[in-house]
Amino acid sequence: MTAPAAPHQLLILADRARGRGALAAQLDALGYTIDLLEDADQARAALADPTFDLLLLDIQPPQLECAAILAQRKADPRLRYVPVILLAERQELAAVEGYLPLGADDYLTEPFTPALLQARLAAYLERRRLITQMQEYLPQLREMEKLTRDLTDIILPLGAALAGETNFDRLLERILVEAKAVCNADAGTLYLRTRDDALAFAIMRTDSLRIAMGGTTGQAIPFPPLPLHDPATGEPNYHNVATAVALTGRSINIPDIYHAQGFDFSGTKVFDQRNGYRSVSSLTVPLTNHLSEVIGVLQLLNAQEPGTRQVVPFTPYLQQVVESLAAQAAVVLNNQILLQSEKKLLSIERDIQIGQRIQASFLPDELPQAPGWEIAAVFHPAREVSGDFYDVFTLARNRRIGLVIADVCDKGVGAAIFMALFRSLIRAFAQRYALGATEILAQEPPESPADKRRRAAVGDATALKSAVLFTNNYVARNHSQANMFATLFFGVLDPASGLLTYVNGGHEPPVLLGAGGVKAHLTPTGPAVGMLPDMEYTTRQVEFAPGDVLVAFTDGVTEARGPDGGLFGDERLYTLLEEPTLSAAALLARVEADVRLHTQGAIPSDDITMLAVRRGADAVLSPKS
Amino acid sequence: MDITGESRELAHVVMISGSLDAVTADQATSFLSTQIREGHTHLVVDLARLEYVSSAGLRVFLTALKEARQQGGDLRLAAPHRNVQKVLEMSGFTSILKLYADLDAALASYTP
Repeated sequence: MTAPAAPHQLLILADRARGRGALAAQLDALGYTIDLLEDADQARAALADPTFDLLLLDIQPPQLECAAILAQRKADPRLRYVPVILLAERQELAAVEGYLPLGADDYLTEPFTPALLQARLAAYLERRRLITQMQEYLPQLREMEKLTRDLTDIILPLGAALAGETNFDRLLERILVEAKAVCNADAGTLYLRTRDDALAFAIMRTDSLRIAMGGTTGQAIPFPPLPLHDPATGEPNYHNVATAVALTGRSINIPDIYHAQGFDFSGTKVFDQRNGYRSVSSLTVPLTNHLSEVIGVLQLLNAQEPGTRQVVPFTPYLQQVVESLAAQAAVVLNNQILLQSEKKLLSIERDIQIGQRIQASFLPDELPQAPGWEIAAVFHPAREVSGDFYDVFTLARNRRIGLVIADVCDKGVGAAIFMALFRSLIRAFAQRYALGATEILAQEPPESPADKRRRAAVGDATALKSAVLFTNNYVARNHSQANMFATLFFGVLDPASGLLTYVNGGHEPPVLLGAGGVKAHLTPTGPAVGMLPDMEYTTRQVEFAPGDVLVAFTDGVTEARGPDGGLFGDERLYTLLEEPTLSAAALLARVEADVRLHTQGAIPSDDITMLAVRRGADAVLSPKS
Repeated sequence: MDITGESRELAHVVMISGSLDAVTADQATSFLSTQIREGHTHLVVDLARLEYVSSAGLRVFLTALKEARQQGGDLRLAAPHRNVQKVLEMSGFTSILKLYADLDAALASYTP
C-alpha cells in the first residue's frame, strides 16, 4: 500500500460570514490543511504563489470578483491543473452556471456533509495527482523517444557501417562527418594518438569556410602533433583541451572558448584571425579502447540551431549522443589500428580477440536483483565468439525485470556487432514501451487489485511484443543484406506477483521447474528475430510459485560435444535440472560442472550460456503490484 | 559437410550431407549463391543426409531463400531428419519456407 501522504492543502476564498468558517472546520476535521482567506490582497498573493492542491472558491467572495480569480487562475500555467470547486447556496445555481465556463471544475452547494465533501475532494485531488505524474513522465518519455530514435537511426547503423569500412581514411572521415551531423556542428577535428606520446591531426573540417584537410582529401594538415607531455619536463599537458581529454579520458564541453578558464586556445584564435572565423562552443570527447586507453580525440566546434544556424552550446544530451557514437567508433578504429600496426598477427586470431572484447563489453557486469528473488548467470565463451548473449535489466522504475537470452546466428566479429545491436534495440524499445504502457496503465485508479494486475500484465505484454516486433523489423529491414538473425527469449518479470510475460523468438525453450520437476517448457511464440520483416509474435505468461526456478540456456549447453563427438543432450540436462535445488547459482554450477565433465578433452566449439531466476521459497513479497 | 547440385525437371536439387554449422556455413552459402546466379532459382535442398544444423547453418537457408526469391524463385526443403526438423520448427523457419517430408513431394510442389 502507498505510504500516507502529507495532508492536502486546501485554499478557501470565502466569507466567514456566509457560514464558510464551519465548512473550514469540517474539512480540518477530515484531515486537510486549510487556509481560509477573506482579504482580496491576501487572496491574490496566495494565487500568485500557489502552494495549495485545490481551491474552494465561494461564488460571492468578499471584496473581489469571482470572475477575476478564475481569470487569474486561467492565466497562470502553474494553476492550470489545480482543481477549482465553487461553493454556493442552492438558490445561487444560476450564478454558478455562469462561472463554470470560466474554468471552474465543479461546485458544491449547501448543506456540506462530510461524506459528500470527502468524496468530491478526493476525486479531484486524485485527478490532480495523476495529471502531475503524467507531466513528470512526459519529458522522460520524450527524452527516451529521442534517444531511441537517435540510437536506432544514427548510432547503431553507424557502428555496423563503420565496422564494414576497411579503408582507414574513409573510416576516419565517416566518424567525423557523422558526429558533426548529429550535433549540426560547423567544424570538427579528429586526432589520433601517435606512438611517441602525442596527438596528431588526422582529419579536419570547417564547413562554412569550405576547409577539408586530411583523410581522403589528400591535403596534408600543416599543424604539428600536440605533445601529451612536455618533452623537457615531462609535465602532462593539460593546457590544450584535446590533450587534456586524451590524458584524463573525460569529455570537455565548453559553451564559449573565448571565455573558458584554464585552457590555452591560442592556436584556435590564430586560426580564427587568419580565416575571419569565430570559434564559440566546443565539445571534445575521447575515443577509448577496451583497455581504457585513449586512442584518439574527437573535437567538434560550433553546434548550430538546425533552422537558424545560430551557434549554440553543445547540450548535455548531445554530449551523451556523441559519447555513444565515439564508443562505437573507437571499437572499429581500434580494430583498424590493430590491423595497421600488427599485420603479423593472423587475421583469424585478430578477429577472435576483437569479437571476444566486444562480446565481453556488452554483457552486464552485475545482475539486478529483487527482494525475494535470485538471478544468476553463467557464460563461457568458446575460443571464437559464437554469438550468445544474455541481459538482465530493470524496467518501469524497478518494478519489472527484463530477462534476455539469445544466440546470434554467426561467429566472430560479425556476431559480436550484431549481438550489440540486438541487445541495444531490445533494451531501448523495451524501456520506451514499458514507460508508455506499464507505468501509465498501472497508475490509473480506481480499480480492483485484480483489475490492476490484469492491466499491468497487458502493459507488460504490449511492451514486450512491441520491443520484439520493432527489433525484428529493424534488423530485417536495415540489415537485410547481412541475413543476420537471433533466436531470442525475452521475458518481463513482475517480482511482486511472480508473473512472467514472455516472447520466445525461436529459442531453445527455457524450463520452469517446481518442486515436482518440470512445470512448463516456454516454447517458441514466434520465429527467430530479424529474419524477415513483419513476422508475428505472441506473448504468453507463466507464474512462479514460491521455490520455482526458471532456467534458460542456449544450444551451446545441449549441443556441447564430448571428445567422441557426442552431444550433451536435452535429457541429460533435464535430469540435472530436476534434482532439488536451493539456489539458482547452485543449479547453474551443477549443470556447468557436468557439461565440463562431458566436454573434457574436446575443444569447446560453442559458447555456454545459462540464465536462472528463482523465486524464494518463503514468500517475503509485498502484495503491492 | 558435402554439398552437390543436380538439375531435375521441376527444380534444381541441392544435397547437403554431414554437419551444417559455423565451420561449414560459408562454403554452403557460396555454393547455393553460385547455383542461383547460374539461373537455378527454383531450388529444393535435400536434407536426407544432413545430420546436424546449427544456428549458423540456418543462416545458409535464409540467405539462399532471400536470393532465390529475389530472382523470382524459391527454396524448399525436403526430407529432414527428426532433429533437423525440430531445429527448423523451433527457430520458426517452417513459417518462412516450405518443408516437405520427401524429395518427390518437394519437387512436385513446383508443378506449374
